[in-house]
Amino acid sequence: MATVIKATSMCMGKRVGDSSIELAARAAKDCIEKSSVNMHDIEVLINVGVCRDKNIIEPAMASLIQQKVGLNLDPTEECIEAGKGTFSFDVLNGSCGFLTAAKVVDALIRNGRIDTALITASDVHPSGKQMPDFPFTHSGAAILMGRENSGENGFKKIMIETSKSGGIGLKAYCDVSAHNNRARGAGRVDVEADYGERLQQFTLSMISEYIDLKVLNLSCIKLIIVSQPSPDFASSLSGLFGFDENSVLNVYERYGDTNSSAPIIGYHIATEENLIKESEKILIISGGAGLSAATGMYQV
Amino acid sequence: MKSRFESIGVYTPQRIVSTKELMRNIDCQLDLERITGIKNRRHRTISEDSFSMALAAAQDCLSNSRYNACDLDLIINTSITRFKAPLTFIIDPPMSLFLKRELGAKRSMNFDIANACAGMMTGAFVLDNMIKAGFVENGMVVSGECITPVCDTALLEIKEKIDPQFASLTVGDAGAAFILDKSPDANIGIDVIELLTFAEYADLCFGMPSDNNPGVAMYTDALQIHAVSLFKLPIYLEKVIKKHGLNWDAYDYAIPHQTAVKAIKMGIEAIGEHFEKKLEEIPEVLISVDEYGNTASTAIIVALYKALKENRFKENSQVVFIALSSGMVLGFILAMIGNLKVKQ
Repeated sequence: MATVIKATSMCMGKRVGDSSIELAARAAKDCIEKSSVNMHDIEVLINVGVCRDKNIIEPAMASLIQQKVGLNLDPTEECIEAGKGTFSFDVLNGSCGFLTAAKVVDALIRNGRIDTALITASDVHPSGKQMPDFPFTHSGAAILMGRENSGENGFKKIMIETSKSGGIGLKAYCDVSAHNNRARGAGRVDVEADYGERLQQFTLSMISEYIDLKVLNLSCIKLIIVSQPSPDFASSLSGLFGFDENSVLNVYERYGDTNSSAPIIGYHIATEENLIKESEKILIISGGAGLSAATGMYQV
Repeated sequence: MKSRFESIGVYTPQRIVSTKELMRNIDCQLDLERITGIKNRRHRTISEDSFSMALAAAQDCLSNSRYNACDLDLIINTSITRFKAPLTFIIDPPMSLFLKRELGAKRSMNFDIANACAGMMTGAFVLDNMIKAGFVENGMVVSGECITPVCDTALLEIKEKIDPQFASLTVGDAGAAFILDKSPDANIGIDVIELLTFAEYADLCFGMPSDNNPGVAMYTDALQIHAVSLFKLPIYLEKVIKKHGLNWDAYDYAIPHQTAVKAIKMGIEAIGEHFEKKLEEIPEVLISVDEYGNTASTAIIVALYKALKENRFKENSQVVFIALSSGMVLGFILAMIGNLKVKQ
């Protein structure tokens, strides 16, 4: 029994008039359409986007995305009796959000609690505009995950770590009282000067720890998909642990830092461009504020 | 294997604000206490925030637990309001990271969950499944709600009795936490968690910065939320009981999300009517909203804690927790609570 990826999609922003909910929902609809999954069979929707339209604190962004997608909006008595309905919520763990949500979905599937889940991600500045000092490219992505009853495919151990000391590296926030009546469109991202370097080192130490767990044989890894907090984060992994530069997918060159969407966009590109085939193994790596880092091996 | 509520903790600010005192600040003829049954709520001091209240609740929970912070495998923060004083909304990193460091939970994984007032119930759903899947042995779900700033905004902005910010006058500040672990007793623990999002109604309540003043506001179509929940909760509960083969008569207590005394009473009456039960045949309803207001995601745990503190809770009681929040999220956690104690 395994938790496998059924379909992916992505949606880039227009730079003005963007919305995290809209980008996530468009990616979600496209993802569902491309798959063989009946949308009414999606039991859980988890949103891992960090930014929130208009700095909404409630409801969950996931419920607004669910509404936009039109996913089991108002289950009738008969639907509930038949087990048709969707539970949605946000899982917030910065750029490690996707791997965190994948771990949650894996638990739900292993327990037989669900068969199908949708994870969405998106990051748009609360104003809807691509602000010059906002480090994330407006983007959204979606990934459908489900149960596969046999075989070696799917996610293997997902590890998530945070640094025990030192600065958090990056802080995204909104001082609500400092913007008069315009805090809905306000948000800042402060980045410490040594964030990139420290994050790189911390991520490398996490990968070493993961290798020591003997979950994977490095020589079997076909492709590494990496989150993109800086231009050289992906390329910095080349040459280390035996990874060559052709085995590291560099999404930054095409799209910049797509933050919470990065791992899903990376996987999407890998499948669209036939960079990975069934039974091949990939390593997904994320790193971000905290400092936090996550990794997991996936057999296609 | 079941997970169980191993310990709980709560923090409420010292300052009590009565409804009478609150309504002296508003130019509107409204008998809020009569309509809601809320006599008092707690307001934070200006130096308190979501983080400090979550931390205090977590520390209280650990003081009632056999675990130390360094034993925890997972910390999930489910605060709606992720504010650091005075009113800075922290978007990233998640608040659970700061809690983990301050508590000294060195080996713990962490993340936040956002699901409005159903946050802690969602946290229980996720943690229960992580334990059952063998990913963790235990974990803490914690929430700190610095929510009375929405009331401050409402007092400035409400002009008429029927106003979308009316519900903001019912809130109170609090922190709450619980630890789940593997139950050593096959009878004690969480039997069922069923939660659904009726996203048709996702826009009935929004919390966001005000567009009139420098603060945060909550806009609620309270009448519609009440109508939807009165209609759907009894039907959903009936399906849950049927699906899991439960005996409704075996339940001792019901702890619903704490909105207002009258609303809770109407909800329970609707459930009673649906199941053709008299009120005395329905599980005893535990409330805290009369003294603490609607403390958002912490409300159900605040009500449980209050009952334990008052020694109203028999050991090995069967409890149904009723989740109701914007989204709209509706659902139930049915559990046998074993020997859960809080310090007196």
